[in-house]
Amino acid sequence: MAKRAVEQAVKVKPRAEVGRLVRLCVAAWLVPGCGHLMLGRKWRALILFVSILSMFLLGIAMQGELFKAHSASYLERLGFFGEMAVGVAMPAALFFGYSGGNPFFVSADYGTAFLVAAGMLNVLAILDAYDIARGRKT
Amino acid sequence: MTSPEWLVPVTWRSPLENVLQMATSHFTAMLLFAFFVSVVFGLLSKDTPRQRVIYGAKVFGAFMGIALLLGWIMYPIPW
Repeated sequence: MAKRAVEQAVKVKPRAEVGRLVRLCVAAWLVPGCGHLMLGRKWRALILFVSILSMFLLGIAMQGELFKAHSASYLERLGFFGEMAVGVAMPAALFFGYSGGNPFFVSADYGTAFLVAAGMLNVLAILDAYDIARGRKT
Repeated sequence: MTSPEWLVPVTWRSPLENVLQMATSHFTAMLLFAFFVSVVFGLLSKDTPRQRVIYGAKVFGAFMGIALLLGWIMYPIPW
């Protein structure tokens, strides 16, 4: 009887769990560090937010290229997904008037690398938040 | 026929682009890149603050050291 009570207490509804994880990953994607904030890891969230967003802003300052989804080149399409991984920062930059980069600017290539790397770091942050939510990490 | 965007004078660009412009050398760009990547790697890979700082410093040192080493290896190449 006691064993059954323990088993019932431990059982988690799978749909609710999946929904929670999806919401966590979407939040972590949209705003860097938000997933960790939802899990209560405030300092980790703040450091991730500042680092990833700083990389993105440095990429913008260096006039890095914002790739387009409908590009003829597969590499540019990959670059678009890399930059979209930062979340709302990319559409926000376009909304506030960033023209998508100046390839003739002296630091433009470095800027592009910063923009894509910021997206990739956010992917790591999303995966970390997922692992913490699943209990695989502390 | 409209002129390409890169011919537009700087004053006609958006305020975001006028305010945010940073021309860096390769070394400075490499330094900044290595710093931010090391911070994130250290934070996500280790558990205690001490371990994170040590690992982040190792990653940063590896980034800079290997980049400088490769630079010197490529230095004699004429093209």
